[in-house]
Amino acid sequence: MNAMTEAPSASSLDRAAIARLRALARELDPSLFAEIMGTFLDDAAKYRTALRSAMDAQDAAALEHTAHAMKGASMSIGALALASISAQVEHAAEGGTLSLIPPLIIDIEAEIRRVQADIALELSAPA
Amino acid sequence: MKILVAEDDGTSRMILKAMLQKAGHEVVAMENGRMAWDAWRIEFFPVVISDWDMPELDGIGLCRQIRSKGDERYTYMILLTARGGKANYLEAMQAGADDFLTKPADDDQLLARLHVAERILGLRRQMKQLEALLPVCAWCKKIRDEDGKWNQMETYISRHNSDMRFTHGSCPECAANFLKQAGLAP
Repeated sequence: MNAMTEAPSASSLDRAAIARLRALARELDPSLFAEIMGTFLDDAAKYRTALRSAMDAQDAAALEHTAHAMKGASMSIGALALASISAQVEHAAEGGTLSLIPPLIIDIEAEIRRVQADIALELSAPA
Repeated sequence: MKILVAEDDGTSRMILKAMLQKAGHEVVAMENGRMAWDAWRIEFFPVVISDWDMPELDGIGLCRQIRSKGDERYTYMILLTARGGKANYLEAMQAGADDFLTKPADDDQLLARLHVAERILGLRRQMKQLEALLPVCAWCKKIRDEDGKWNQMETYISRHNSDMRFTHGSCPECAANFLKQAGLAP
């Protein structure tokens, strides 16, 4: 394979999902794309805090519910890796194997930072 | 169509609402099942699109509440959830959902399902209208049933409403006519 044809670094955001959201904003309201991304970042921060609190309290139900919510929000903007790690937390919480979750929360926090950076790039790019 | 959305995740709710509005639907979006239930009780919505996992009242609970109401008008319920699998699908259907879609919602697929909803609601309206029209003989007052047979009114009604019983008597006008024909009255 020719190395020159490979993408230098993959975005944390699925291109098709971003294109769909941009098209939606173009047709309805140009500010909608930024609003959706802003709402996602607010929600992600809220879910991250809730995951930490639920982990401290060893609350499996709250971990499962919050991870499920994080998964749904991530999928809706095309943050597929974040959705995938959230699903792992959800399954671990559902199965009661809470010991698996702390490193996954660290992964979620790192992935949120990647998504945040990619959203900033998207917002600075022309629609 | 007028669509009620129940979705606790802000991002998903905003995207779903925008997508439905773009398709020309009138959308009211609520943050959880309880708020959606309150909205539905105040104002009728022919279509509800609901998430499953929500605080206060989840999507399954919302389905059951709406179905338990037994409203004359039908609400077509679509569950849109990150949950997958046969067990969840069956549970949703048993709770009264008409359709089950997994997240993330594919726009084209969801809009196609809404066309199905529109078609089913239209057929239901048509059926209700047909049910309200009884073919009655203008002279003998017999009623034509679904098989094309003409029935006495009592027979027809008893067959369609098992709780209905008849007692036979005469109205004053018929009683007077009968007595006159029998030569028992002037």
